[in-house]
Formats: sequence, structure tokens, C-alpha cells
Amino acid sequence: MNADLIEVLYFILGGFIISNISLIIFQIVSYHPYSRPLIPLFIQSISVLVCLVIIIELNVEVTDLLYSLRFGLSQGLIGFVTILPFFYVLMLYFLFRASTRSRQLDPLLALLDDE
Amino acid sequence: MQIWLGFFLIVSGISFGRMGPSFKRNQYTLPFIILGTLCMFLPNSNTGEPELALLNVIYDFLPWFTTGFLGYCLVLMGAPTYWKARVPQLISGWIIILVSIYLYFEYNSHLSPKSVIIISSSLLGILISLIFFAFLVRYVENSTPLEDETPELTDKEKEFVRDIISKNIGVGNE
Repeated sequence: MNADLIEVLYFILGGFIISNISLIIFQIVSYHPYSRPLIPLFIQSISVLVCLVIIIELNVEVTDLLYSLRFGLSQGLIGFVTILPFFYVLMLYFLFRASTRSRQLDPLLALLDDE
Repeated sequence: MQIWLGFFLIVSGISFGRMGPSFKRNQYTLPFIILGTLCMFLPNSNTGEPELALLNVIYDFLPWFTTGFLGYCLVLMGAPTYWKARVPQLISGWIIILVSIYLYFEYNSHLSPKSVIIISSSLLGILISLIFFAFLVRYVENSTPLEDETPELTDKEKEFVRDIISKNIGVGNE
């Protein structure tokens, strides 16, 4: 398979793994009596495991599940950090709008000022 | 392993900060995030592959991100959204944001457009997992049986609610 295509696949799998692991941690740490995390946790863990096996199959340097997990998490985090600037630019647009927008007059607040 | 312990602490800290029935845990948010950040970003001589590549990316990321975050906070403080504009904060914030953009190009000049496109494909993985999670949660919510209708408030409870509302709107018995 094309080396670039395999790289793309690693990053897609990495993004999937890091996002799922984050959601798994989130569900465990923020557990409360009204949450039902058992089925999502189980299915997400299985899907992460499948991704780890795919990485082992694709990469000859990756031989065990733990290394595959570290590899996937690293790829995912590298991807996350690399795409952040795009969102940063988007946030700058909203920040610019907030900087130039003038405060709207609130009749209720004006009444408070009059007192 | 230090880097993954840091990652676990940061994600746990962010999760503690959520609203809802587990809100009492949000007092641990900041300590967990600070501890996790220290664990993740402090140099560790034992770091090998694959974390070494990640650390290099993080060290190129931190300068512009921290600068940008500082500028972002200053602009928000100076923006006229809820109060009068604070011009010094606003101008200094935008200057710091411009510095952060310069730092981004300074530290990431080695990135080619092709590599950025390849790395950005992780966004697809993240989106797939989020959609997958939303479907899972929807399935679980739909399969949870509805609880019985809540019984009507007793006279004592009604009086209690009335007292609270009266006290808050400043009418009734003082």
C-alpha cells in the first residue's frame, strides 16, 4: 500500500483512538447515578481494541497491544495538536467580532443606573 | 509513561469540571489540569519512540499556544461584550496574538502543506468516534425504560416552594 495512504490511515486510527480513550476516561471520571455508561464503555473499548489490532497488522515495528496503544495515542495527539491552529484562526474571527462590537443599551440596566 | 499519566490527569481534570450531579468534583479540576500539564510537558530523559515524536510536536506547539491563550484572555477581558471596552487590555491582547501567529510560523516552518494535510486526517477519526459515541448514547437513552409519573407535590412542599419563590422575588412575608 502507498506509504502516504498508510500514514493517513495511522492518523485516522490515532484520532479515533485518542477521542475514544478521552470519552472513556470522561465517562468513568464523571460518573453519576443517572448515567448509563456500561454499554458505551464496552463497545468503545472493543472498537479501540480493533483499531490497535489493525495498527499491529499494518506496522511491522508494532508488536504488542501496549505499544500499539502508545503509538495510536501519539498519532492522535499529534493530529489534534496540528489541527488546533485551524480552530485558533476560527476563534480569532469571533474574537475580532467581539472586540469591535459595541455594547447594546439595555433598558433594564439603564433603569438600574438611574436609581 | 509519564506523558500518558499527564494526559490521563488532564482529561480527568476537564471531566471533573462538568456541570450536573457530579458538580462537587469540579473543585479538583484545576489541580488535576496543572498536575497533568506538569507531568506531560516536563522533560523526561527516559522518553523513547513513539512519544519522542509527540514531545517534539508539543514543544513546537507550546510557545505559540501559551502566547495565544494569554492574548486571547486579554482580548476577552478588554472586549466590550458585557462592559465598557478596556482599551489597554484589548490592544495588548491583539499584539500578543500577533506575536503568537509569528511564533507559530517560526516553530512550525518545517511542516509542509502535504504533511499538514496527512496529519489533519486524524480529524476524520475524531469525528467518526464522536458520531459513534452520540449514536451509542442515543441508543442507551432510548432503551432505558421510562420512570413512573412523579407524584404531585404535597401541601407542605407547595408551601416550601412558595416561600422560596416569595423570598427570591422579594414579596410576601418578610
